[in-house]
Amino acid sequence: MTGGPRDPAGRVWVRAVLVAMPLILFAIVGVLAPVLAPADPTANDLAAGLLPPSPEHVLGTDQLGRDQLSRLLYGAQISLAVTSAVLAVSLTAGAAIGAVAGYLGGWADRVVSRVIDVVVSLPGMLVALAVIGVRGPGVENLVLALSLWSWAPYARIARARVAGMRGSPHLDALRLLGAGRGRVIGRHLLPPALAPCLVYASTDVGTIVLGVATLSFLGLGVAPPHAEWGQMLIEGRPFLASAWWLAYPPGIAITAVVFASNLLGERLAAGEERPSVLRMVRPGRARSGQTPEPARAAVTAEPPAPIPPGSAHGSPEHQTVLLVRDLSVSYPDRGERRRVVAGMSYEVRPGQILALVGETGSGKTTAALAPFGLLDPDARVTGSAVLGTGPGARQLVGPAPGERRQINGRRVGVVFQDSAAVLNPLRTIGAHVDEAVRNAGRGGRRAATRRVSEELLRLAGLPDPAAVARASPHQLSGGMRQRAQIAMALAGEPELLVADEPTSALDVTVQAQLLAVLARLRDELAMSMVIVSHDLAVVARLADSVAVMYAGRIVESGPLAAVINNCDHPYTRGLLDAVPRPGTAPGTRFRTMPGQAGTGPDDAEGCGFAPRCPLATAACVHEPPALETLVRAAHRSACLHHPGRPAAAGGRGADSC
Amino acid sequence: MLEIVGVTAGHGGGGRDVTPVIEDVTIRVAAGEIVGLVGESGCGKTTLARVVTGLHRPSAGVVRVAGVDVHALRGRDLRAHRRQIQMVFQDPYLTLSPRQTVRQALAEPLRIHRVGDARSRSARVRELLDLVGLDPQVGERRPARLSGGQRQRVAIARALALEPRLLICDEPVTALDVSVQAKVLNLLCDLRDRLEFGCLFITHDLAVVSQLADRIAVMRCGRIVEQGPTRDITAHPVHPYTRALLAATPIMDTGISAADPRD
Repeated sequence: MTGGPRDPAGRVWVRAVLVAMPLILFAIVGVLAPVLAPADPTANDLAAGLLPPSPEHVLGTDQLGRDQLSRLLYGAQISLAVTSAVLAVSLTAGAAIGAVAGYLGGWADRVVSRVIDVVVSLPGMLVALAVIGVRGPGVENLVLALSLWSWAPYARIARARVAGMRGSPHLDALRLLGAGRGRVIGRHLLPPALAPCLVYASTDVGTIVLGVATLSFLGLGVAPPHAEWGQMLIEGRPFLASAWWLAYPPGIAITAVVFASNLLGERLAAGEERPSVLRMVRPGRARSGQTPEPARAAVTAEPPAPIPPGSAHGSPEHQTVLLVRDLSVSYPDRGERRRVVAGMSYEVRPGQILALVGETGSGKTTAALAPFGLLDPDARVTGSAVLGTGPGARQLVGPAPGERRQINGRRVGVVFQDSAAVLNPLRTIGAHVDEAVRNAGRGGRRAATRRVSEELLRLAGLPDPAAVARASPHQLSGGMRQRAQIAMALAGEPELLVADEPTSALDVTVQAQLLAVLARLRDELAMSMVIVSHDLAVVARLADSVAVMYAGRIVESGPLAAVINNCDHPYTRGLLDAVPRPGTAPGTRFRTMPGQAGTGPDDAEGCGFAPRCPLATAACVHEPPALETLVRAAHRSACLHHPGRPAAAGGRGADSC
Repeated sequence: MLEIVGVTAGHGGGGRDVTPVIEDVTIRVAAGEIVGLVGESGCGKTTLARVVTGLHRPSAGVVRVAGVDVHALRGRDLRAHRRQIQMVFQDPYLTLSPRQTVRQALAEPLRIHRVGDARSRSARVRELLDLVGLDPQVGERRPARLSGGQRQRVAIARALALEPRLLICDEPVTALDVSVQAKVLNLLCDLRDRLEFGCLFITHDLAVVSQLADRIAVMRCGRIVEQGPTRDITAHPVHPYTRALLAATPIMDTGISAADPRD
């Protein structure tokens, strides 16, 4: 099937309904058979036996002169009735048994699981034959026989779903609210477990219709003279050559229902699962896949000079490790491109740490990773990002993948927030660092490589590198794993280290140690870094300069002390006010910003912060403010009002933070 | 309001604890008081919360809420008593049923305890939304369509629906952005002032409780190493671990807020 995964949920369901049309038709025909049928399906008329299709009998008559169309329609009714009954019984019983077993756990769960395993592994038709053999044919026995083997998959699905939710805090929360077991299972566990059961049921319809027809075909289901599709097939079999209209219509009807139900099941399952699977796969492609066409087009548009002219900081005394100018990142969104980062300019100087600070959705991680091709392949990066100065300078926006490999891991090292996800659980830490060393071209013989690796681990602040190198990731604490990641990033002796929330998942004491490691790397190796963080307090401990981001743009940037002590932008002010400070009287209220964080740089025509800003005027809403230099050259702020700028006559800082 | 006296608990359950996770913990929370419980991951904070709320049985010690031993109650009495203690979890996305609208989630505790009829319940839901500063329209949304701060507000509103006398907050603002965190903490302070419930606020973040709590208890490896009024703990910590924790906590120490001329 095509399409699907990227569609909004609504369209998936419209398509599902379209795919379900044959089944809906089947249900309507089944229900309305007595109205639609032109004749009594059991009325014999031996004089009119075996008539070919004619206007009077659209599908002809059988050997007893019964109208085939009427029999086909009534057959649908019986199929529908039996199938509904079987589904109702097996779904209800299966889901209930599974949900209870999953909720209770322990021996009850083990017993039920084994029973389910046994029933699922039995050939269904054999079970049905055995039941009917004991109890004899007939509609009720047919329902019983088919239900006996079709309940198990529902029980298995429901059990898995419920068992997965059993430890979830929301059940604890419900128990604390005083909900009893019955309510927890019935109202909170069963409904979500039913959804996948219903998806499975849509496929099961076909299986059951086929089962009913098969058993009737064998003479074990619906007894003659009732019209049933399997029954009609067996009755038409002797006349396959002479009277084709007897066997073909019921055969086609059965095939159609089975196909339709499989198609519907497939579509529903796709609607439920495919997008999430794709989401997991796509970031992987980002690293191995090719650069998307638009990004390459952007490169050709770049001026050949490594440092764009007109930059205020191009003068020789301002050497930069990373010079980013007018960086924008956009993603496709419903046929258009939506920018998430717009017009970012920042620079990292040798031996300095730049912190990109912002809240969730401000685009800080995207802005930090974009120059290094670490975003989803859908991302389009424009602007300029130059690594280094002089003859070694490299334009980072949009080089070929091969060139990228010469930069990432060698000239630039990257550290991610979640070290558990970055490290392969099946390989030792030493193997990870060795690989990084070899990728950086510093590998030699195995022992030599390992010596380099251990030196790197020591550099990253791990006291016993040999032992750490032999350990698997899960044997290390979060702080040690994060240091191992830093060691990997250092393998290429990079000029620049990019760290995305490197300490956010750690305890404060561990966090403090890791911050000390990063500070030492800067102080002793003159390492330059870009640190992405949401935590102003962390940034205040580590960074030399800060760029505060809001809704995909830098709103204020400058040296740490200037931004923290003399902030200008109202958003920076609000962010600083929200940081808790020991020493204030308990219960002191925070000063807060109204409204919710903006989501993108293009959501508002003017200043993105204007809707929440206490200083906003009409001008703010229409005019996007530029980053303007304040008192000192390096301190810039994108606010029309500049509340932090000292008045011409007033003392410095009187009206500042 | 809450008395935790000499509580020891661990895994193994049913009083046959193999390894105690918390040992000999004693904390008292008065009505209208916020007590901060600070500790690093794995120190037993969450186990203590589960013991206090009755989800986990201690092997020794007593937990009394409003004078009643929580673990001596069974069945109907226990459920009735649970109205007194409510909990706010770290991740409201996990604790709110994804299929329920906010309105349904808020009415749920009222329905469980058969409080009022449909009309009075829906009035109470409106009241709760108003209490936590949410727009009435938010009531029709499901958790997936709420922001993190809104979700935590809903979780707080739901916990307060039955007018509990004790609120246990387990890292309620850890997953939130700092500006949203500030709003939620303000809300908690306001609600405490209005409703006079006692609150045990569990967090790893000393900075947060030092501005929020009246008293602080510092936990390490399952034991309370130091507790006392917030000012004493933050200004004159006695235990070396408390000092280490304070030293490690990143604090905006550039002297900005204390000398704010606009205050």
